[in-house]
Amino acid sequence: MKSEEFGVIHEDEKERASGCYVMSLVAVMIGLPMPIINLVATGIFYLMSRKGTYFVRWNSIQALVSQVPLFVMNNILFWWTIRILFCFTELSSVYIAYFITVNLYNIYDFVETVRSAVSTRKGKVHEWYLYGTITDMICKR
Amino acid sequence: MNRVFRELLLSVAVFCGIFYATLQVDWMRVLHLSPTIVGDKLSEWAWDLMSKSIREVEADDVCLPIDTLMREMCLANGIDTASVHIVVDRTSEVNAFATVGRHLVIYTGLIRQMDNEAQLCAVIGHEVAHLQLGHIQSGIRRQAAINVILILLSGNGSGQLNEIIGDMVSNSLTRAKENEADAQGARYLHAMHLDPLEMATTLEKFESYGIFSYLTDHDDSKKRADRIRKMEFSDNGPYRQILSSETWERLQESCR
Repeated sequence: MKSEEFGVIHEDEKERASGCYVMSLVAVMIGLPMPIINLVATGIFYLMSRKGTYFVRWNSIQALVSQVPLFVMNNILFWWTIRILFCFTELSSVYIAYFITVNLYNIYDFVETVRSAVSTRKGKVHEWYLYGTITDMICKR
Repeated sequence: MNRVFRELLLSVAVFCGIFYATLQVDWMRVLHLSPTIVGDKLSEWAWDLMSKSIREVEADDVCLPIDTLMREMCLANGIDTASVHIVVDRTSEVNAFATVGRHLVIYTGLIRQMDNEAQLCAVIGHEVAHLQLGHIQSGIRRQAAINVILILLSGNGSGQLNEIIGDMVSNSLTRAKENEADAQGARYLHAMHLDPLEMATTLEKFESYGIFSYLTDHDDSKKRADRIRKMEFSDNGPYRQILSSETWERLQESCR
C-alpha cells in the first residue's frame, strides 16, 4: 500500500498514528514481564482511534495485529519461566532455545515499531510483513 | 487472501526454522548449567537466610562425635558423606529436622535427652532417610521458593523464614513419609551394627516429652514404635559402640 493512497495527512494525524507505536514501546517497558500489558495498551488505543481518519485507524490496527502473536509467544515464555523459578519444571535446552527465538522476535518487533513510529510521524506508511497485509483486509476506508 | 496465507506460512516457517536451529545446540552444556540449578540456588539462598538465626555449635566436643556418627551411618549405608550437611543448633528445644539444601539441623536440647549414641543415631537416621527418600525434594523447594520471594518482597527477617520453612517441612511430610523414614532409619541403625529397636525406644521417648513440633501430621508414637518392633532384622550382633563413654559424656556435658 502506498502512502499516496492515504491522501493528504495532517499533522495531528501523523502525531496520533505515531503515538500508537510509541505507546506500544512504552507499554513494553512498563509492562515487562507481563505480556498482556502491551496488548491491552494497543487495544485501548485502537478503541480510541476507531472514529479517526483512515491513516490513524490503519496504523492503530497494524499495531494491534502485530501484538497478537507477540502476546502469545511472550505469554508462553513468561509462564514457562515462572514454572522454572518455582521449581514446577526444570531448566532445559529447549527452554533456552525458545527463550532465544522469542527474544529475537521481540527485537524484530521493537525495530519495526520504531521504524513505524518514525515513518508515521513523517506522514509515510511503514507496512509490516504479514501484519500490513492483514491490516489491509481488516481496515476499510 | 492468498497473499496473507503465503506470508503467514513463510513467517511461521522462519520462526520454526530459527527455533529448530537453536534447538541443535546443547545450551545446558554450553552455558554450564544443570537442570536443577534454579531450585539449588533458591535452596542455598533459603538456607543462607535460615542459618542466620541458628546458633551453630562449633565446639569439637560436640561436632566431632556428631560428625563421626554421621560418617559411620553414611559409610555403612552407602550414602555420600559429603551430601548431607549436619548443623548443631544451641537451643533447649528438643528437635531435629532436615531442610532445604540437604541440611540437617539437630538441637542441643535433643542431644541432651538421648540416653545413648544409638538413640541419637535413630534421630539422625530418621532425618537422613527423609533426605535419601526424596521427601524434602521438589515440594519443599517449591514452597521455599515461593516463601523466599514473598519474604524478600515484604522485607521480613530470616527468623520468620526459619519458622515458615520449618512449617513447610512438617506440612510436606505425610504420615506415610514419616513411617517410611522411621523404617529406613531403623535399617540404617541395623547396617551400622547398632540396635535398630532403639528407633522404637526413641519414638516412645519423644512422646513422653510431648515433643512433636516438627511432626504436625504424625501417627501416634506408640503405633510407630510398634511398627518398628514388628520389623524383622537379621542377627548381626553383638552391637557395637562407636563413641567411647568419655566422648559421649563430654558430648552430653557440652550440650548443657
